[in-house]
Amino acid sequence: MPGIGTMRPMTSEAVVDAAAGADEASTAVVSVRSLDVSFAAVTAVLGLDLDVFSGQVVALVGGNGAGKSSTLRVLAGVVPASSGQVRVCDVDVTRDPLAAKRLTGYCPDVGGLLPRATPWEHLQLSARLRRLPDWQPRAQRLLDRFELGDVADRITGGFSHGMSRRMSVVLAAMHLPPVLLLDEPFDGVDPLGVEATVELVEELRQAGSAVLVSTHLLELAVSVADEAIVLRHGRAVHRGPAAELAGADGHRRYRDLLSA
Amino acid sequence: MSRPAGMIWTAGRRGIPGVDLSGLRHELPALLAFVWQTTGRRERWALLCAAAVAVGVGIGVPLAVATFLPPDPEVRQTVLVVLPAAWAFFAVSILISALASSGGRELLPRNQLPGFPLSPATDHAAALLTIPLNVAWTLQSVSLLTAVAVITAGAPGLLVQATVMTTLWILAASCLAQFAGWAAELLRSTRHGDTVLRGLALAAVAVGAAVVLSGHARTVLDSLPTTSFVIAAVVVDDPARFAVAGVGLLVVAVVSFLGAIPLVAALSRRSVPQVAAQDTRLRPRRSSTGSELGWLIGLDQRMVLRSAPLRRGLAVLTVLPLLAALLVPLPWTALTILPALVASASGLLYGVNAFALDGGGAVWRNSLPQPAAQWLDARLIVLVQVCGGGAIVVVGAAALRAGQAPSAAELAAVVCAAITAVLQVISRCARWSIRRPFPAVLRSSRDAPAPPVSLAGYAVALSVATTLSATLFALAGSTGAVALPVAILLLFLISGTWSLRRAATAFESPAVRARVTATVAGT
Repeated sequence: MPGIGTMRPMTSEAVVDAAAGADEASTAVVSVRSLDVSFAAVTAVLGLDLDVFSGQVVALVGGNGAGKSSTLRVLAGVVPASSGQVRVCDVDVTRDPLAAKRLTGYCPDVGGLLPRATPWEHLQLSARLRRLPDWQPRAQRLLDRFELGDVADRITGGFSHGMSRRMSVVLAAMHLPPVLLLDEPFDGVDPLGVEATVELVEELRQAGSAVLVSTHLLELAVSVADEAIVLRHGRAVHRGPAAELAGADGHRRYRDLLSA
Repeated sequence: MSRPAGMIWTAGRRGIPGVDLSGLRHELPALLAFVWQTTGRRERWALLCAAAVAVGVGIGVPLAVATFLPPDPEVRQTVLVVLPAAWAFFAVSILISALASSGGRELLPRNQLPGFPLSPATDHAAALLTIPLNVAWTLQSVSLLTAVAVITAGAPGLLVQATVMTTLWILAASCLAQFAGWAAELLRSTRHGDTVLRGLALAAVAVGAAVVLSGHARTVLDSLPTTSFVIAAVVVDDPARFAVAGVGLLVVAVVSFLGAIPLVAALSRRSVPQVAAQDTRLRPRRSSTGSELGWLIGLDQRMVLRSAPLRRGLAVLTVLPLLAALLVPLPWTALTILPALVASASGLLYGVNAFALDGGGAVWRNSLPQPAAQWLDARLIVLVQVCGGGAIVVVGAAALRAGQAPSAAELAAVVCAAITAVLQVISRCARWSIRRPFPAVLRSSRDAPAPPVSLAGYAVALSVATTLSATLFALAGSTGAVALPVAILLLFLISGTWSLRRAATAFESPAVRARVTATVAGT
């Protein structure tokens, strides 16, 4: 399987510099302070603080409606924060959402694909809007790696759920973003797809990206992440090394945190 | 309690084979109640008002015409001559509509049906019930009823007879069209069905064109079988003829209704929506060169043409008005109505919920570093092409059939009316798409961009606005002053541009964009 470390010089220099600059100053690539997200009368996230550093993988875990997806959506710039400060590579997501979107790669939790466009057209759209040069070889390698090479020119409307998830991961990672946001990337994905995703996350981590993964699957979260944050009713109720939630004791602790 | 679809075929053992009506009595009221409860308050009021207006106009106008219009033999003769063609056009238009929409609209989207398994009889009856939400059907029905009232003015007994026959015609034609729609969908689900249907459609268009171009249109119109039904409807002293024709139409309606049920059952076993979703064709890769906006427009165009309901809708919206324009030569002053009809119907294909084109990918698309204005611009430019393209084709054909050359004012009126109609549709679609988005799949032929009630409301709003402006331009063109239609166009341009700017400003808001994209993506 081809690694992606060699591809980094092909990304926008500004993007790499943004992540490197944040790293050199020992500041977080992703910085969230007192984040509130509300939808009408429903509060999805309440007072969340979060830091993710360059080369770090953080897992957001929790039950349904815990605020994981809402947090990632705010970071991706697709949902505005109700209050609080959200910065990506020192760019304020609220004030300059376009710049923030250039720095992130986002895999939404549901769907995520234009039903009447092909995977290649998705990649082309992303590459054009991000003004990526010579993106085609890298895109083709990623498609092959996620076993989507054969269907690259078919419309995604007939894709299975697992294929759609894998494609969403490819789209999020294609431009080697300084901040990778994966919302339920393992949901409904076969073991080979899970393996490819885990390897991709690891490679991006080694290349200096800050990675946030939201998932219901605790074992995968533990295996892929350095740190885990447990969310419940929009609040962070636990944060610490992901390994603390490993094994039977970790599961018990996790269950206690969700039901407390 | 409904039965699983797979059991329907064997369930109706005591009645007509394959026809099980047992679920209809319980399921249809429950389905209607569910749809009513899940319809917003505004839509409920709009529906009630629209129904009241439609019923009031449908009964009131013919009644008023019959009561107050003084009998005029010349007018009566003129209407009588065109009535058989009007009846035939009604039947053909709803037939094409049913064929294009694979049996008609759905009260509940197909992807929600697994949670509410409905019997084929209920599915069929529900599709029939949504037919009056089609504005073209309602307008034509009212027109037919009014036409027979004109013919029978001053003879109340004859009015009742003619109205009964016309109503039976509308019923029979609707049931038959629905039957044909299901049959075509079943054929389409077979291996070469789509090819066969396309061949049939092309053959029909070729025959129609040959008839018109060879100058035999009048002969064909004079020998239409509808003539005998019209005569049966308006002839006083032949009750046997009336009874035979009436019973014949009733039999057609009942047989079509019952006959469609096994077709729906067979379709439900074939899982046609899933079959239709498996589009495995490989699409050519396009170049990445050119402007960003140009590439986005190209992507939108491809997404429109790859959607079965949009592709077929576009074909129908071009063919139907084209057929009408070719069959019935219109004077130049009347041509202003054609772009209004085509543009407003085109807007209903997807424009009223334009971001549904992105479907589940809308949220991901919103995460891309793309200016909101560029996204909206590309979407609206393609919508202009969709609405304007059909209008140009139809107006062009009608202009050729109009015969004599227009005056400068008439030509200006038609051009200005076309621009105005497209602008009116685009500005309203932009506003509605941003203000009230809906989750919509737009995959199978029966998928619609909005729930039936909302779609009916949009249809009325678009039709009224564009028809009024078309009438205004027709009047302006008839004055002979070129400056008048141009001046009116300027007013519409100012108003339309202002409306579009407001929509663009709203779409700039991240909160609004988040709501729109999350809604159309169904998240």
